[in-house]
Amino acid sequence: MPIDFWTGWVAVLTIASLVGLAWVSYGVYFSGKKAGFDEESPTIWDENLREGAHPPPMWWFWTMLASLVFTLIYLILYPSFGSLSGTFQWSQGGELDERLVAHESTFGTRRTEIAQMDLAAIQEDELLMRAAKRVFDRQCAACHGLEAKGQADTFPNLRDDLWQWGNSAEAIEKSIRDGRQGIMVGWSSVLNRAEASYLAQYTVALAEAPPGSHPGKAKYDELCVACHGSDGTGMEALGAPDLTKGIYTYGGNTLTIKETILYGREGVMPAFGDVLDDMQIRLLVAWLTDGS
Amino acid sequence: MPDPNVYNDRVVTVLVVLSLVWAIAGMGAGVFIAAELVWPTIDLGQEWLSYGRLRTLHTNGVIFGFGVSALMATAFYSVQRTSHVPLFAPKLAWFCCIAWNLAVLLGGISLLAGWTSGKEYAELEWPFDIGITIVWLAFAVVFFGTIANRKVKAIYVSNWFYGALIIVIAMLHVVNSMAIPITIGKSYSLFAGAQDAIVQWWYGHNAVGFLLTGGFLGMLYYFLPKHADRPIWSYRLSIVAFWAFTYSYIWAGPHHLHYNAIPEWVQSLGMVMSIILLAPSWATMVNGVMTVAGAWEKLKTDPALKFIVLALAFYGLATFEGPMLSIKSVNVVSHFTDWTVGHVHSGALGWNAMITFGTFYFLVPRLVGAALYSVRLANIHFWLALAGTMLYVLSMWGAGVSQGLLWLSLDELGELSYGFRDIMASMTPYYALRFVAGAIFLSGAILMFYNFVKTMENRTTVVRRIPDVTTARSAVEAVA
Repeated sequence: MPIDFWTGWVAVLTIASLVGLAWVSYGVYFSGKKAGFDEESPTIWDENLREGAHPPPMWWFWTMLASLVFTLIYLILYPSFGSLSGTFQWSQGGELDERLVAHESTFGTRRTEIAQMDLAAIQEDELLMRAAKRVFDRQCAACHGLEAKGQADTFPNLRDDLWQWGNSAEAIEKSIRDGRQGIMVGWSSVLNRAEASYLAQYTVALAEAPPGSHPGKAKYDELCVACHGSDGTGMEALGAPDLTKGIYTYGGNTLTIKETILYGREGVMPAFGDVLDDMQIRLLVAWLTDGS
Repeated sequence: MPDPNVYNDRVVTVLVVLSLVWAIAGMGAGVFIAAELVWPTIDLGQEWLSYGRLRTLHTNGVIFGFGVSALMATAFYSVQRTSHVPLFAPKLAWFCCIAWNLAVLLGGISLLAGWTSGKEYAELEWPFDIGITIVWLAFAVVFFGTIANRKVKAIYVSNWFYGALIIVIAMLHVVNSMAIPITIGKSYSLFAGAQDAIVQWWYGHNAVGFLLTGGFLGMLYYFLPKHADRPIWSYRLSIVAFWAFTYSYIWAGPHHLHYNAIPEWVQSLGMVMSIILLAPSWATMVNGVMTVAGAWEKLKTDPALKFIVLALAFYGLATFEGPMLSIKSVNVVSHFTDWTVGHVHSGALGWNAMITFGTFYFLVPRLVGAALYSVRLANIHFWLALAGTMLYVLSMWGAGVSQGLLWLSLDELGELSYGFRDIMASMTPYYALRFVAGAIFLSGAILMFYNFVKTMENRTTVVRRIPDVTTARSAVEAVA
């Protein structure tokens, strides 16, 4: 087995230290020399402070020797000096792989079955729904909140009627698996503040009843229709929210809406396809669509 | 011109008082953040009262304020007496005392203001790091200068430990603090990623090793035999334990990074060296216990010795627990849990604080030339300290072991059985108990402070002259 310089460096330093420890211990017990100690007239440091002449106990020597022997054996068996991997060929990556294989062989079949289960059947199974809630707590609640009601005027409420990317099981699964990037363009270079105010008021008015004439309507028809539609119902393919529902991810007062219109918004839902497996995603979809 | 035949003890007295002030402030911060973990809103929305900032004030206050002031005081006190000379450069000793405490005070304020390098136990930013280096060098000059002037040929074992403290902490502090300053209050470490982690824990664990263990062992080796009025049971065991201790401790840091993104051989070495450490640690404990053996009757009447012997017991406990936690398969359960916090506090409260209390009960009456105001209060303090420590350690063992096992538990689907939040919520009783434990321990420290204030009201002028006869050996040589 080739040994590179740094492996040799680590090996020499480690072995020299262990030999040094053994040598010091051996020397104190067996050298015969008293190494400066004079039992006949011990040094007096400070009145009653002097050296005790009791020899160090033998059990301590054997303890020390035993720990050194254990160390040598451990360093032969497990990764020790630089690139030497130890005779067990153990590695933490290898251990992780083994555990994953064991996990798969214990739970794999059941998890595959659940991943293909009907959503309604999952929703009727209390055990599965509790597991789903734990997955949500662990992976989703940090942003969407414990009750999935969103938070901080930034993270969408998953318990309301507004699903800007669609509320079908397929759309929700896609959101979880691949993530989403929602972009609302900022219009500050096109609109002055008065026009933005009118627009904000118009979108709020849309939620009640489409007004026949409104000072914001002209600009709406010019700039907003492409994504949000002439009636304001939005477009799921683009993630353009439905404005008629009166639900606003980033806050619903006219001042905040004006901010949104002028400076835009960027929303990112991260992709969890590599983090969660099929069963976990299926459970989440079942939990999120339950009762809807 | 100071009298060359008199020990410099005034700087020791001031350091003891400052150490006591830091004990109350640092432990007070600890009790407050323990309460924050039970009632999170008591930070009143103030950034400087938040857990993140007060936690660093707690650790810096107790380790560097309380601990290092006590270590400086006892090092100055004992090095003179074991060398039979006054302090070398006594003005520099005063500089150490004042500049160190100023650094901890201003550093504490900077931590509350949000300055931090983000390195655990080394949070102070680069201007403080430079200041600390200068003070530490002054400490080294005073200490090793006194040793160099000594009239006793053999250097006493406590001085070996204090010497190791000074040299190793200088090395650790300078290397770990190397950083590129960006502004007056912000710098970035010279090391990146896994290297930064390894350097940080090489520092972090050896700060525990050479400051909280080695430094306080210096305290033990002087004040225990002095107080028990017995020689160190086996002086040779103390020397071999010293070398085994310094040799193996310096490798142990990587056990803080088990199963992390650092090379596996580094983890292996960190683990085996931690296990070897059990031998020198218990050598010291046995040596200490055997030194007191034969003076047991003193324990009935003497609260100072009681504290020191109890400190030895907790030292034995913590130095057994440490090597166990460093074993990788145990670490799988214990890592990131409150078990670690319990382990640290069985050392910090049971060992460091207790031995300092015992030493101070011995030292203060001698320094101020007045009998201790109340032995009864000191005895009450002893029981408060013991109860507080036991309650603290037990509550954190309970919390830590249940966290470790609940986090790893799987349900019948192969999913984690419990959400992190649920486990967190179940910790409330343990955390409440820990808050009570801390409050009990703190109340004992306040009692001690009061006791010392009353003692000092009766102070007289004390002048400790250096004895004429330096050693029995030199007396024997003179006869021959």
